[in-house]
Amino acid sequence: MKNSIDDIIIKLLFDRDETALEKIQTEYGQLIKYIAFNLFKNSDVAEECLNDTLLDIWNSIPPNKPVSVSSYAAMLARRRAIDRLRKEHAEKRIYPGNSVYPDVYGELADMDDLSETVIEGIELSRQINLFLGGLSGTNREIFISRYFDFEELDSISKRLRISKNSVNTRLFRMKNAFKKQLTEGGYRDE
Amino acid sequence: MSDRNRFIDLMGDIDPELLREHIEYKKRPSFIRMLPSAVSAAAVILAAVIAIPFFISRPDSSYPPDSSDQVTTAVEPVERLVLYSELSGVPAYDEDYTLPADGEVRIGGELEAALASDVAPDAAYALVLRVGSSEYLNNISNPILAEKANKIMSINEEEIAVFKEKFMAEAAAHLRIITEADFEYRKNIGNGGSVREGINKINEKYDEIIKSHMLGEISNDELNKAMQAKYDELSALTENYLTAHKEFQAQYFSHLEKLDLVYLQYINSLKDGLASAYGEYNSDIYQILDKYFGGDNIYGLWASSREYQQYWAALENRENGIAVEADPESLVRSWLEEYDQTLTKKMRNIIDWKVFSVDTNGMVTKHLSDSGIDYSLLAVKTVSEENIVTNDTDCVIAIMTKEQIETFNAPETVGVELDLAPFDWQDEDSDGIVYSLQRK
Repeated sequence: MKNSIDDIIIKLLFDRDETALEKIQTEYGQLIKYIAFNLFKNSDVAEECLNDTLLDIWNSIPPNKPVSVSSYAAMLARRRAIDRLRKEHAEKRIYPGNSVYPDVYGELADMDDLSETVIEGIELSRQINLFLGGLSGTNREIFISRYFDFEELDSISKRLRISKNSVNTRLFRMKNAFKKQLTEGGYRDE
Repeated sequence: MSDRNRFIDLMGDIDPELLREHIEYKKRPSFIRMLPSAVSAAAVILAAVIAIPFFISRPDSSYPPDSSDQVTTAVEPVERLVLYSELSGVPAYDEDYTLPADGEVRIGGELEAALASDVAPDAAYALVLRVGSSEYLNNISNPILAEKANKIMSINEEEIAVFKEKFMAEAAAHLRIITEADFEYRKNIGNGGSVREGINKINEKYDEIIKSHMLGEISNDELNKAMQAKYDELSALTENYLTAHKEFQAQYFSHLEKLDLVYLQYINSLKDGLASAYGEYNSDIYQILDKYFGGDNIYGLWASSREYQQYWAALENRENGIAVEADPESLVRSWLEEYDQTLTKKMRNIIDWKVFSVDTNGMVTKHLSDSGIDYSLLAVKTVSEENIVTNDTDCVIAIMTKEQIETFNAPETVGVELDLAPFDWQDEDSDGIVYSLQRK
């Protein structure tokens, strides 16, 4: 069902039919706003990010032809939201109140030694995907929810019905496992 | 750009297919989420069909998650559970927690045999087994744990039996005394009773004198003397009432206190036993006692019982000279026996729980060799990773709702059927995760 909707959306975009944007908004509007909302905790900003993302989609398809419109939209929305967040942070030196971003940023402090080895972004990206592909379903859900969606730990905990401590612990282990994977792959020193 | 910023950015470029799965997952109804990927489509359908009654009233989850989607389904008894075991290990785990190969798992008897089979999960509830290091598995019959468990169980069987007899005898005596005192009080004092009758008689008596005075039959002096006498009689009556009331209160509360004391001794005996088994008093013991006994008031419970009403009726009949059909003694005794069964059951819950929780790290174990199913290890506790990560806890077994299983199990999970008909579900903890499992 979703594939056929995606196919329709892609076709409409290639035909430069603006109803494509309405369909995207209907199908994935909530998803797009969700990511932005996690970062800004502000419905107005989330709405603006939705509009920006729709514009990005309009401008990039074609030539792009994503296999999954939802993934593509989520990716663009996330990028938009993060760019805006970083820009505002650079100007005001503060993050929006209740934003999950500073927490996530803090949690990833142990990722700061990745540059100790020479690893190109594209290879690191491949390693991340390799790592994610090897995770159990639950762990992958936790990892992506936290580091892609910027979902709050409480929310993940309740949604997956595991304790918050457990979510934290799993994230900790997963980050260690990822670094271990990089080390074993020769991308990172011990 | 810092490396963590780079990581955050690259997370945005994850495989679209993985991302799509994640998005679809979040949009799915919760009971479909996280079903093991190895489960066949038929098993998924079967599981869904079985699960429908439990989830039919639940709204589908939406993206973002709806808070209404976080309600824990009530636990209901089931006769068949499914055992899952993460035998193949979880890639993200440290090597310390890498699981041994299936053949090395030693958890005894039928459980082990069950693990060796490969039956798709198809029940609404499941028993989850998470095993840690092989070192732990080789130490299931850990003598320290076994000693603690045995000690607690022996307290249950022997010491409690002693206290039970003492409790029954003393509690019955106090209950009878308090009840009869209560009866007398209400009859003679409470709600007016004989005091009211006495006042009425005095009033009637002096009403006649007042009437005589109005008719000119007696003088003012005689009336004044009569009114002084009325006042004296009423004062005496009030004094008697107050004295009787105080006597009753003293008797009532004295026996109530004694009853409480007997009850507390009964409970304390358990507490002491638990503390002795643990080697110390700890907050767990108090929490458990408070949880199971905190709100109980034995006299209040007795007073609300059917036996109490019958006992009261017997007292009234006796008072009115009617042959008493019910034997008050047996009424108190029968109620106490029933109450004691409740107490014992509660205590057993405590005992079982503590056996499950003998490890100070929260690890739970229990030997159920006398259950007819020789599980070397069968226990109940929260599925919380910290129990595995922290300290030396290696094993957590949990009984979870199907929902929880669905959101917990990893794709590498294997499911096998395990007949747990001899057991009953008990309650869940405040997190909605922990359940005790009691033998029927």
